[in-house]
Amino acid sequence: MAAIKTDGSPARPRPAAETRNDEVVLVAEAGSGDSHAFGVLMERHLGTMVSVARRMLRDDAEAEDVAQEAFLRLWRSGATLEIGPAGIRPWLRRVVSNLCLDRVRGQGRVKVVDELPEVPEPAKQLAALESQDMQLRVGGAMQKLPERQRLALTLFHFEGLSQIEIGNILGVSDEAVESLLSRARRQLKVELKSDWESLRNDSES
Amino acid sequence: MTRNLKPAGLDGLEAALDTYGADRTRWPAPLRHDLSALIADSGEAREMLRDAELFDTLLDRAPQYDASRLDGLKQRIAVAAAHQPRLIVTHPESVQRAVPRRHQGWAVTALAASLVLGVLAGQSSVVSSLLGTNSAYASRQVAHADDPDILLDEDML
Repeated sequence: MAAIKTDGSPARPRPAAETRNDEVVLVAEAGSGDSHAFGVLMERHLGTMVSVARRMLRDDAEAEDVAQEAFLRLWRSGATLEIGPAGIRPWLRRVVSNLCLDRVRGQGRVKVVDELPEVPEPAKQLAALESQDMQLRVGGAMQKLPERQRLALTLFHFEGLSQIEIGNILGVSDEAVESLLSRARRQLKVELKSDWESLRNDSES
Repeated sequence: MTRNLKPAGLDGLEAALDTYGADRTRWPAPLRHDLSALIADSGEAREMLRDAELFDTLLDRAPQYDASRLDGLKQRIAVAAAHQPRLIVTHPESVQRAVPRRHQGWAVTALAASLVLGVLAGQSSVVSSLLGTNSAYASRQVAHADDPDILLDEDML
């Protein structure tokens, strides 16, 4: 069933179901020291893992550290991992999620400050700046979510995972995942009320 | 439908939109079925759905990762991996079996201990008496000793 919005335009497609039958071999080879196999796995999965991590953590550098640690764990112990039909990605997601949760809890609540330019900008650059400001506000609102809500929403909305997959990563039931998603969106709708309103007005004009 | 969701109706639609967003392909099939008539028949329901689509669009504006950084990150990981210790599996047929590092450590420890005992057995009769039921082993080790001061324990021969 294709995803179609109410205006008839296609919705953002959900990431395709993953079939990584060759990854059993790749992971075993990487775990045995094959740098080429390791490189193939990084090519396939590193971007996704960094994406997940950066929505959980303060900045890109920290997200890259987490992604690096996850892949080094794969390198060290790949020969002993049991890989299912979905390949290595579920394992990587679990490792990245746990590393992120550990870091967030270790750091306490994250404070995000919106850095707005003080010098008036030319009119033609205002639209770009407004877009940038909105990006910062959305990112900031995400950072204010409790970490499990943030992780659940990241995995559902940005990574396209199902409730069951998210529940497996977080170690909770389907109902708990629903609750996390629901609370996350409701909080974000409050935080981003004016930006949401702005989009409504733009779509009606 | 799970217990957290309200019955069908606008409240149910709101709960579904709060949980799953506007993409109905992400909704559980029973929920999608229950709410399809409501969305088709109610202008208010369609308005709620449009609002939810806009909110999803807003979420998509979250800051994106600069993908150009990935190449540098891959190189850093590859360099770090080259300096990492790994758990090496020497038997290809056992690749899918877990080989606990602890058991390998015990094997190495046991081998080292037996080597030490063997050396000591060649130089001390006390060690050969401690070996007890391993008398044949002990006698072989003792027999190979070069030290003329070692006394053989006749009970072990």
